[in-house]
Amino acid sequence: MKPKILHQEAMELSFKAKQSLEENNEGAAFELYKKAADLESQVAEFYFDKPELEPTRSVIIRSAAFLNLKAGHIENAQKFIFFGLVNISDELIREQLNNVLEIVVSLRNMSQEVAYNEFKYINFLRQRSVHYILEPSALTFGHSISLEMIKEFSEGYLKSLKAFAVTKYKQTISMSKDIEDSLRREIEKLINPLITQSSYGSFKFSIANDYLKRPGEEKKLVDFKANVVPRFHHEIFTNPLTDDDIKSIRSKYDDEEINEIFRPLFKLKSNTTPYKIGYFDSENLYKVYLGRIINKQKKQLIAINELNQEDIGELESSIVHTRSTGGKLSKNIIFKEHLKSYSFDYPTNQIIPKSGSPLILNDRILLSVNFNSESGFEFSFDDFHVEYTDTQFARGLSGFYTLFYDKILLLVSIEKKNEQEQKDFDVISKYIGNINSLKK
Amino acid sequence: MEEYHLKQTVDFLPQLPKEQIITQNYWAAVALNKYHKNSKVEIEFKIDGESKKAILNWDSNFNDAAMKESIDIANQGAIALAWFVMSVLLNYRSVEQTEIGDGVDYRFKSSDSGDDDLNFLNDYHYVEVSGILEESGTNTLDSRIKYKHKQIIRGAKRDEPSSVIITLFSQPKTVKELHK
Repeated sequence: MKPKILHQEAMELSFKAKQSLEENNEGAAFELYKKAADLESQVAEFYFDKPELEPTRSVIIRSAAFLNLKAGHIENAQKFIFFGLVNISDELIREQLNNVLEIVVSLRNMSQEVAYNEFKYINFLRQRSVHYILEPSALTFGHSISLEMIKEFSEGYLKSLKAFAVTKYKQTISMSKDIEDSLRREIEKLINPLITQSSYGSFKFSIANDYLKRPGEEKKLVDFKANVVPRFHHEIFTNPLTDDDIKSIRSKYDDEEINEIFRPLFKLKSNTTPYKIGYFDSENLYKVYLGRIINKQKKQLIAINELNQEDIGELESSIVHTRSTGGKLSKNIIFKEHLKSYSFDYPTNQIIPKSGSPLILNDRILLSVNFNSESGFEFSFDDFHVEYTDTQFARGLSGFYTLFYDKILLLVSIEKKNEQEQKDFDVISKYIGNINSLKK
Repeated sequence: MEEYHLKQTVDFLPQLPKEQIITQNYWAAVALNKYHKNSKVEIEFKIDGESKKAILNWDSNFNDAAMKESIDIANQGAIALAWFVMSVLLNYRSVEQTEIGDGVDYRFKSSDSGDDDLNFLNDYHYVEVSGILEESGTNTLDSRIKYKHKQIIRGAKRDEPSSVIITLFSQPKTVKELHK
């Protein structure tokens, strides 16, 4: 046996398989990978009992494991992975084999062709994946991330991504209002990011949009699906929102689009969010943390979505049947539902506590109000750790002001502030002239 | 000033299938065509500390419909330039490749050890390759070189002869730095 010659043949077949895949010739690629894997397996087995032939032995065993996986030969891949983990001392190769073991376990019990397609799919998705990391802001529960945090992240991310997808697709084709509505519904189905990898230790995960070509879908649409997550990541999610960035965004999108795309991100990226979001740069793999969005950027970016007190009593949707009999109109309410949740802004330039004089701020701030039918009105200020909830709007606002005021007094009185207290103090100092005069 | 053509790699690395080198050169052509006209440019090669300028030519007469992803263009194009530097400029005559999951591992040897060599992946000069289309923010040629050296330190090749070869296509400039 001449292992070098066989190995070179296997590599040539593997190259041709990749080429066939690029030319969308799936059948040929599958056959070429099978042949390449068979050859490389023979070479790898030849080295099983030759530990003196390092590093060739380790490198060839790794190569055989990966080629078998690409060919859908899961049992063979598993054989080489296990052999490698037990017998190879090269740390990098062991790490690579360990990583791929997770995929092999998930593909076990599948037929060769199904496993081949599944691995190919996951590999394609991983090439298009964006790699994120969530880390708690405070180590109250160690480095663990709660399900609540994951839920909040995925809800905000998904809402923003879908709004971005609709806007971007709309910009590429002109359409009537009817088509726009149906597109919105269609995007709901098309934009379906999948978790392509995850691990514990903070919470690391990779996301790619599903982009299998479904029957009737044009290439343009498949390309759009394939690239929507990376585009969203670069254009929107990681946008530092400098003055110039905001100017550029406002020139590309209208108020409604900006609102739909960015509003879901405010909560994820606010100063008060209990977790930090990071991502791994796809080119140099450095971990980069996302900057927070502060009130000043929010005010510049979005048109304020204000709700008057009179409107608040009408947060409901109804289906009404109107009938005209003998010139008389009669209305029959078939279904009435109060809104389950709604978010809006409440601009203010003063804090009015129940007792004590109002505190006039240097600049207007935007309070976030989240209405939820189960808990009521939740008031918060994105840059500062203070929240208040009440079932009535006016009572809630007054309670929030009082809590806000008391917190300012507390921060002023603390001589040795911890990290969080100092951050909050720095934020609020910018809005109040001579804050130390409040010291009692 | 010396003048080269990317296709010269074919003559210097006879072990590799010709069509593999040609395909790899197509990726480099797509990357270079983004910034330079007429399939020809003055390029700077900085090899182990020494700079030299040369004229580099390439073929652009091919269908690039499947070569659209900028990350693929930068990385695959950089492999073509690394092969060119190692073989045409530095006289390495043999390259071995093995599968590593998503990609391929490349190792160079100055002469072919023959078909009967059982430890044929021994005594190789290992190369860590990377490409950047254009510099932006922290993604610069210098930072990429440092990062690739760090990658070698973390990996199993830290005690073996190895180099990093990074290409910046917009300038264009290819830097080879010896790691050990």
